[in-house]
Amino acid sequence: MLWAALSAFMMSLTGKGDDTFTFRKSVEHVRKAVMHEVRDPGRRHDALVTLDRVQAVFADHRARTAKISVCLERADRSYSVAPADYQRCLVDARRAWDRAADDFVVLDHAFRAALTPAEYAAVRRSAQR
Amino acid sequence: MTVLRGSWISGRLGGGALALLAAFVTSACTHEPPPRLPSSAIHDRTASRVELVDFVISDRERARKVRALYQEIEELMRAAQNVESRELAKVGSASLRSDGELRDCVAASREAELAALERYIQVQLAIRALTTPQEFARLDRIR
Repeated sequence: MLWAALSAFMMSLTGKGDDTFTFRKSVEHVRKAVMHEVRDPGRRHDALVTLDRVQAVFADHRARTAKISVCLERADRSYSVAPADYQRCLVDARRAWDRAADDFVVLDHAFRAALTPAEYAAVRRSAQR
Repeated sequence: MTVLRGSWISGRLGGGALALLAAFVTSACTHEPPPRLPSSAIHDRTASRVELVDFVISDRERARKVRALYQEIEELMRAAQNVESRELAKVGSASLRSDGELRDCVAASREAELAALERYIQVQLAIRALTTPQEFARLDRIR
């Protein structure tokens, strides 16, 4: 899977889940692997576009969770805050993760569909080096 | 992203897709990293307060309780991040075979984060019960 290539590199760098720099860095690592291993211009383009979309989905996911952070911080600053003010911050929280999961599954399929099995295996090997 | 995905397939860009594309291009051009998770932001915000509670609350017993609550927040957020790390490691493992397993990993991260935030709300309310408005305002200014 695309995620195996991505997250193996991320974990080797940080061992932490919430590190936006290493996520972006790991996508760039896979991008370089695609450019190195995929000779066919059409398939290479499709794979690179998919990686752009991975970055966009990640940024979109974090933009959604940032709204939760901003809302919580605003509530934190008020001494007279009501429990309902806090709860409002979490109303759409599940959707932020669920939409990201949906999009990541689609992108995983798109990445695999863009490459031949041999190219996919080569990219994965190269990305994990 | 549904709009964006659809636009890629159909070749048409809707307003939402354009906005997202603009946001992505802006992000790529400025090299500004995406925001961190709420648990990370809260952890960073709370860490400096733990050591400074005694300077704000003169009553030792209340100060001890408030410090303990800030410590609980730190531990809650760290625990959520640990779950997220573990799930990310699972996603990267060769044993992950299906879309369902990928969704399960994301769901486990989501539930860890949300459980921590739910408890965080209770702790925040407890901090207010132990502080005066003046003490609370001084603690709030600590960054």
